Amino acid sequence: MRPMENNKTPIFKARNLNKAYAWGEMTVLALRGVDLELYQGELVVLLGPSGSGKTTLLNILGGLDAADSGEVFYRDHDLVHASDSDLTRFRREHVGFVFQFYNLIPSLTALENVRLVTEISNCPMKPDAALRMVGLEHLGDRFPSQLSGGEQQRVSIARAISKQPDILLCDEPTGALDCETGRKVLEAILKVHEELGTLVVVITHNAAISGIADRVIRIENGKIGSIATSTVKIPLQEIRW
Amino acid sequence: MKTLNLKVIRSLFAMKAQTAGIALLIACGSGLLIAAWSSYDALRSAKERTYRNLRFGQIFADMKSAPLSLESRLRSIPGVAELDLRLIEDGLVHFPGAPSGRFISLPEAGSLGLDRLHLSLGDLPVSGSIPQAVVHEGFAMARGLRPGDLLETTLGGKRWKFRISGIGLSPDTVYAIGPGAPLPDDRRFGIFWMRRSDLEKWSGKGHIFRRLSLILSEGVSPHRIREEVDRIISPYGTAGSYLRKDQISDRLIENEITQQKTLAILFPGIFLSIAAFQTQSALVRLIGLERLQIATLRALGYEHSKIITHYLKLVLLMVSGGSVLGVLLGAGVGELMAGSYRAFFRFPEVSFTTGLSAVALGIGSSIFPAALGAATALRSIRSLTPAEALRPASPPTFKITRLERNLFRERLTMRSRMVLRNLFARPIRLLWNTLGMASAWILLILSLSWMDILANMLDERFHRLSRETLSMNLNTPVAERESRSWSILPGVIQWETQRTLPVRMRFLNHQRNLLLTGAPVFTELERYSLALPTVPLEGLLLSRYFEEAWGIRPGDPMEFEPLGEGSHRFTLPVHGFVQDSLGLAARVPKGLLHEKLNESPAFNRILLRIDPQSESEILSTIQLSPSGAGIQSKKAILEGFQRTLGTLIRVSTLILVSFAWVMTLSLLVNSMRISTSERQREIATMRVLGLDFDKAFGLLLSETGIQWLLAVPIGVVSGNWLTRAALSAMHAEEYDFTVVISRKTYGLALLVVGGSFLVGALRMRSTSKRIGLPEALKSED
Repeated sequence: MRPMENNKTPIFKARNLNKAYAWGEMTVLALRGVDLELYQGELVVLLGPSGSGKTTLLNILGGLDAADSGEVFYRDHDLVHASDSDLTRFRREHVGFVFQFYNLIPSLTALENVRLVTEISNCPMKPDAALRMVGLEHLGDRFPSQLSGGEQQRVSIARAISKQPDILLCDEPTGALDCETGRKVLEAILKVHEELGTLVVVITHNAAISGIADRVIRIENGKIGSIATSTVKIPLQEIRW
Repeated sequence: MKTLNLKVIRSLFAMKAQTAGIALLIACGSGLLIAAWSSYDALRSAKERTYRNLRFGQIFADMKSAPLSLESRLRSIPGVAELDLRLIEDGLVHFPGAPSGRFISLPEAGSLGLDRLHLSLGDLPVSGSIPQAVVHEGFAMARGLRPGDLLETTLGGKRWKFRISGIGLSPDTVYAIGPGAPLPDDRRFGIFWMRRSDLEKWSGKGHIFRRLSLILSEGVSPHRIREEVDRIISPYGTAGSYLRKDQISDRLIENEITQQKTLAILFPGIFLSIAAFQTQSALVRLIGLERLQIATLRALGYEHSKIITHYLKLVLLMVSGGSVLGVLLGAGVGELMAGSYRAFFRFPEVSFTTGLSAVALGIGSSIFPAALGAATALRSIRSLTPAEALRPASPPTFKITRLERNLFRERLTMRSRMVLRNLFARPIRLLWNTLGMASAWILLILSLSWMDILANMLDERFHRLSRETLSMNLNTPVAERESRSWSILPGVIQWETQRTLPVRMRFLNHQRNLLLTGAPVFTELERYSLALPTVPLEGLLLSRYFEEAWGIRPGDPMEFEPLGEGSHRFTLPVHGFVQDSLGLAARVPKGLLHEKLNESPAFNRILLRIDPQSESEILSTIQLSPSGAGIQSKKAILEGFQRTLGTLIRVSTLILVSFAWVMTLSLLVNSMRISTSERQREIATMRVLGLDFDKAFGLLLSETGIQWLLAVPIGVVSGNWLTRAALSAMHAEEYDFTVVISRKTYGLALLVVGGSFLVGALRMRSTSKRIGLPEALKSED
C-alpha cells in the first residue's frame, strides 16, 4: 500500500494497528492490523459504512484514543506509548478536530469559541481571521444557539484551524447537514487546506464527497480495503448527495 | 415481570450510587422523625401510666401549717373523691456537699392515699428504735444508697439518725428539683418518705399538714372545688390551691414533652424537607439524563402515564429503601434518647417501642414529599413530544449582559466566561443547587448551635451574673446583724444577704406564684444584668417574659400577695425588665421590701464568695447549723447539670450532628456526581481542543465551587434564622436563652461542608478522568 506521492515524506505512519472495544459482554474488533501513511498537504477521505472502524482510526490518529497494539508515529511522536499529558500537548500543538455535531461550547460566542483555542496555542492566527476564512466574520458575537447547523459547523472549522494545525481531522463534518449547507462547510475545509497547506482527513460514509480528495481510503470491517488516488478532482459545485 | 418493571430494577442498580445517596438522605430524615416521635410517645405514655397507676392528685395546695381537723370539711366538699394530707419538712442531709432533704409523711397504715409510692427496692418504713424512710430513686442512685443504710439529717434545728427501708418514687416527684434550685440535681436534693409519727416527732409538730392533694369525682369542675378548698385553707398561710398542670414536677415534664414534640416535628421536618428537596432536584437532573430513553419509550408507543408511573416506581423504590433504613435507625436512636431521659425523669418504667404509628409516620412522611418532588420533576415529561425528546435538549439561552460587556468582559479568560455564563444562564438551577448546598450549612448550624446556646447560658448565668460560690436559704428571716457570723467563717471573701418572699404576683387578669427577691442596691454577687459597672437596682425588675406575655410596661402597678407569712398585700410599680435565662424572677431593692413588709432589716438568704480551698470546710460548718434549710453550691449545680441535662443535650446534639453530617456528605457527593455526568461532553470537547484534563475539569469544579461559595452566606444566615425560630418554637417560660453561634460551630460546619465538598470533588475528578474521550464525545448533551 504505497501512496502515490512518493516524493513526500509521510508525517503519519501507522503499522499493524489493532483496537478492540468491550461492548457489554462482547468484544468488538474495531481495527485489525491497519497500516497507513499520510502526507503533508494532502486531503484524504476515509470512506466506509457505519461501524467499519473509521472513527476509531481517526481517534487514534488524533490522540483521542490509544491503540491496543501496533504503532503510530506523527513525525517523531510515538502516539501509542504517549502519556495522557503528551497526547494533550500533541492535540494542542498539531491537531484540529471537526465533529459531526460541532461540539461548540454553548456558553461562548462564535468568536470566543475560536479564542478558547487561540489562547492556548503557540502560533495561532487571529480569531477573527479564522472566522473570516470560513466566511462568518459578521457572526462572531452570536452564541451557537443563534446559529444554523451549517454556521455552527463552520465555526467549529474556524476553531479547529485557528491554531494553524498541521492536521485537520473531520469526522462526518457534513453528516448532520443538508447538501447546500454541507457544500459550504466543505468549501471552508478546502479553503483551509489550500491556503494553509494542512493535511486534512475527512471521514464520511457519503461516497459523493470523495470527489474532492487527493486520496480515498476505503475502510471495511476494521481493515483498509483500498486506497485510490484521484487524478482529477471534482469541483465542489458539481457534488450532489 | 413486565419489561418496564425490569427496567426499574436495572436502573436502580445502574444508579446505585445516586440511589444510595437519596436513600441515605431519606433514612436520616425519617430516622430522626421516628426516633423523636417514639421517645415523645414513650415519655407521654410513661407519664400517663404513672399518674393513673399511682393516683396522682388533680388539685394541690401547700400551706405553712394547717390542722388535720380540716380533713372532714375538705372531704365533705361535694365532688372531692379522694383526699390526701401530708406533713412536709425540709432539712439537710449529712453528706459531702450538704444536700437538701425533703421529708414527706406517708399515709397511715391501711391507706394508700394519693401520690402513691412505687417501691423499686426494699420495703415501706415500719416502726422501730431508729425511724425508717424510703429514699427517692434519683438520690439513692446518685449517692449509692441501699436499703439498710444509716443516714443523718439536720431538721428542726436538731440532728437525727434514720435508716433506709426502701428505694422508690412517686408521681409528684418524677422530676425532682430542690427548693430554689435552678436545675434538677439528684446528688444535691433527696426526697424521703417516712411514717407520719416519726416525722411529727422530729419536727415537733403534731396533727398538722402542709400539703393537700385531691382527686375529683367524674365530671366535676375543678374551678368550684378550688374555691371551696381555698376558702377552708386560706387562714393557714397558703398561696391557694393549684391544678396538676401547675405542680412543679408535672409542669417541667410537660415542658419537656412539649419540647420533645416540637423536636419531633421541627427537626425531622427540616431534615425531611431538605431530603425531599434534594430528591426532587436529583430526579429533575436524572430525568434530564434519561431524556433519550423517555423519548424512545414514547416513540415506541408508551403513554405518558405509563412512563410517569415507571419513574414513580423508581422513586418509590429508592425512597422505600431509605424508609426501611430510617425505621431501623430511628428505633436505635430513639432508644438511646429515651435512655438519656431516664437520668432525670423518674418514671417506674419508660417502655420504648417504635410503634406502628411512628413507623407509618416515618415512612409516610418520607414517601409523600419524595413522591411530590418526583411528580414535579416528571411534569417535564408530559410537555415533551417524542420528536423533541429525541433531539438533544436545546441549550439554555446565553447572552452577554450589559454588565459583562461594559465592565469586565475583556478582563475574563474564555474559561471564566464559560463558568459565569453557564451559571447565570440557568438561574433557577443555580438557585436550586445553591439552596441545596446551603441546606447543608443550615442542618449543621441548627444542630451544632445548641451546645453554644447552652454554654453561653451557663457562662452568663453561673459565671458572669452569679459570682457567689455558695448560697444558703434560711428557714426564717434573721436580723441583718446576724450576717456577720457568716462573714467571719474562714475562707469567706465576700458576702451578700437577700430577703426572699414567696408571693403571688398579679397584674390585671394575670397572676403567678414566684419568689420575690429583695437584693442590695449595688449587688455584686448575684447580678441581674451583664452591664458593667453594675447598674444599681432602683425598683422592681421583672423577667422579660412578663413584658411579652403579660404586656406590662414600666410604671405599671404590680400587686404582690405574700404567701405563707400572713403579711398584707402591697403594690410596686414596674421599673424595668431583664433577661433571665433560667426561671422567672422578680427583684426589688431590699430596703424597699422591708418597708413594704413593715419589718426591720433582715435576711433569709445569704450568698458567699469563698476561697475554693475552704468550700468543703464551710459546707460542713453550715450543715451543722440549725437555721439552714438548703445550700446551693454553684460548682455542684454545674456538675449536676453536666451529669443530667448536659448529657442529654450532648447526646441529642451528637445524634443531630451525625445525621446532618451524613446528609451533607450524600447531598454534596450526589449533586456533584450529577453535575459530572451533565458536563462530560463539554469537558471532553475542551480536552480535544488541547486543554489539560485539570484545566478542563477546573471549569466544572469552579462552577460547583462558586455555587458552594454562594451557599455559604445563604446557609449561614438561614441557619441563624432557623436556629432562632426553632428556639422560639421550643420556648418555655422557664427558659429565655440567647442565640449564640460560636466560631467553633462555624469552623466545624465549614470542616464538614468543606470536607464533603472535597470528597465530592475527588470523586467527580476520578469519574471524569475514567471516562474516555471518544465515549464522552458520543454522550448525549
